Amino acid sequence: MEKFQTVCPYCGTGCNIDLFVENNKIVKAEPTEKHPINDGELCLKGMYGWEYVHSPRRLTKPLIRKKEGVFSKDGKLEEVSWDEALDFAASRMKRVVAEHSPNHIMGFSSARCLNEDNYIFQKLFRVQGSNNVDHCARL
Amino acid sequence: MTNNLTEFATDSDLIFCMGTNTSECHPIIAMQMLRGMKRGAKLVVIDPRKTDMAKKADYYLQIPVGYNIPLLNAMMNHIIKKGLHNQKFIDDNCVGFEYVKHCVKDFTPERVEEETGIKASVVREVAELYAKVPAASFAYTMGMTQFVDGTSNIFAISNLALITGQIGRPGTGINPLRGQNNVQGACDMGALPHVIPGGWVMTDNAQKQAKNIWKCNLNSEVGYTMTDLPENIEKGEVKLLYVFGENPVMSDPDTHHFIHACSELDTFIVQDIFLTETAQIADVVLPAACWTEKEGTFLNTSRCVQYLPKAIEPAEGLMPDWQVICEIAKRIDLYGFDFRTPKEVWDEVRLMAPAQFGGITYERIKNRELLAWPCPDEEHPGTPIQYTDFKSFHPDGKFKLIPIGYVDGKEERIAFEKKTAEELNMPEGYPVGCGTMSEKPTKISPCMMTTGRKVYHYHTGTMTRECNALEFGADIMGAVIEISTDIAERTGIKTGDYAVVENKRGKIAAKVLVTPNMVENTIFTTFHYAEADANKLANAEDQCPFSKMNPVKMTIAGIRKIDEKEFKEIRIEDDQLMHPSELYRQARQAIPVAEVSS
Ligand code: SF4
Ligand code: SF4
Repeated sequence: MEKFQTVCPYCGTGCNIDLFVENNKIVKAEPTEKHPINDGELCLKGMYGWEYVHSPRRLTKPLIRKKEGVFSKDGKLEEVSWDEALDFAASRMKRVVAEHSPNHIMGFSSARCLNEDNYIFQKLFRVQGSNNVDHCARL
Repeated sequence: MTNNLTEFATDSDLIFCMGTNTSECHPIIAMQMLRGMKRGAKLVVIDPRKTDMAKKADYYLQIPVGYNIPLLNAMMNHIIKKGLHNQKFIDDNCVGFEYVKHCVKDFTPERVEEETGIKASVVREVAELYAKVPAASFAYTMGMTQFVDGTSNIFAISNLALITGQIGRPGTGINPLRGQNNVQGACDMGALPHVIPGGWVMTDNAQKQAKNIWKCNLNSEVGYTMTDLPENIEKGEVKLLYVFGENPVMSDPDTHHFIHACSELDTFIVQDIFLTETAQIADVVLPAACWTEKEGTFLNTSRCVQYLPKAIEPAEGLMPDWQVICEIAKRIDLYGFDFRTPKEVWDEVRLMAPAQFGGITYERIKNRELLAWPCPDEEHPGTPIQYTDFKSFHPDGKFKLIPIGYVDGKEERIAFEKKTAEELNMPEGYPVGCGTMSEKPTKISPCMMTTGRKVYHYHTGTMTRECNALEFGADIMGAVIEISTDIAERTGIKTGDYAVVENKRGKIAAKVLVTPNMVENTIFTTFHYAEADANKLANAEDQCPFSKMNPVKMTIAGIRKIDEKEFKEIRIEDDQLMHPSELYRQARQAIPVAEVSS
């Protein structure tokens, strides 16, 4: 069993968690002893809130809405390759910026994800000329 | 937070909690507060609901939903009348004291008693306590901000802290307890329409940093906010929406309107780890590695940057979110997305905002140094307490005290602001705040309604509802509608009955819990459950004039008892609205979750 000291993914307190991992699976979580923030304590979410990581319902393949094999607004979500999904997202974004304006694209970033994720996400919009980036800080 | 959360335990003489259900939403902060009480600190709790913390408090003031400003102004009225304000602190560090003095003079503790039944003597006592103790800390959350007068609420808190000098020292401060693990980080990383790491988009510094580091011309106009989005889509001004790691179908107010607007998009991209309610209406869904499957950093409510290692390998093909976004950027031929590691990304953040993050290196935080920004260089120990020099961020270094009033209806707000600016002969552009109710009870919607969280679940439940220990734990009730006892008496609805809560925007159905802990004429529900999401009824029309926040903490609604048959019908209707995807239904059938059950 390997131990990793990490940070709780729920509220903004930032409690430190010792995660125990075996065969690439989390097996338990314990509060980090003597950490100044949570000093050996965790709430229910920090203690038991890691199970979703291994949920069988996690998405593993990209999806595109398709009807008869091509993208369609009235289609259904279907599994596609990474290349197809990324090319599709990129080409649609490029087209909206070119045909309309950078102001016609908008992004909702995530207060759940890493600083690094958030930084790259807003940079994607800014370098294309759009300041339409927000996240749920208001909600 | 201006201060570190551990100071509740070690330094505060008074912990003043307003609009925070700390023991359910921030249990470990509540623990730090309780440690403070053991040391001898006093606790004041102000909230429409008699929460756990309220039961432990030395003083509990049960205010009606939306009554923050009259109460805070009455406290200041009494403090000034008794001469308990800190004149030296005000003279040395603040401007605008005469404005505040003027605006609070009509708000007396007696008026609070008349309007709410809270004893004037209690208002006076808590006001004196706050002003007199050596170190008072003000803690709040969404119970202060999610209103049409959210920003004015915060101005009122800041007025109170400043006129008493309760800032810039250990155990004091203005302390919003951040709801999400990295909401502080998302703000600091520039996930907001007006700011990038390096400053507000129109400032010289931000423009210069973007030119030098991003090699682009930064748009100097503030972008759209999330709350403007449905309207902007309907006007054709937004054609493509890219949502990552959020579930706005459930978390945004007025669900029907939001879903309808999204159907008019040219392209809707969603990046998430589950097929959320939002992903189910997207055109493209991009999965990603999640927490513990990728390395990186979070920023907590005390502004501390903390390191998270990669602990497990994600399923084949899954990349961290930042890498998925870089892949898209490269396919659009954008410059500056060739990052190989999260450390390289963070190092660019440090270049963009050196005064804030320059000294916070991966090396230091991997060594578990707990560093709060600003931390400009590698020898700097970080800044757990802000404003220790009692200087504000304004060019003159002075703190602005903001006049704040309260009017009867939102229509009167602008007139009040104009009148105040004239009466006080205020300089052009000096802000005036004003509180009001966004909606008042009507005949059809006679009750006040408010929302919140439960300790077991988190937000829209995307993660916690996938954790069996939390979803199926013993004393966990699922979606319930909590109502005050007077509503129960008036309507004859009892605990355990099915009821529907509705207003012009939508309806939800659930079992009822009658609770004596709620201020009168008030309904409470959570937004964790797709089968009964309070946000379906929430007000997305009104906005705070400063922050554009919608008043999701306050709306009006009617309630009526229904039978089990009608309950099931509403639940099925809701399920179809929230979960249109066949893929989702198949997965749910294969591995059942607690769904249409009550
Ligand atoms: S353990 Fe609980 S209190 Fe600590 S960060 Fe996680 S959710 Fe917040
Ligand atoms: S949802 Fe609300 S409480 Fe949660 S982080 Fe965002 S703003 Fe804070």
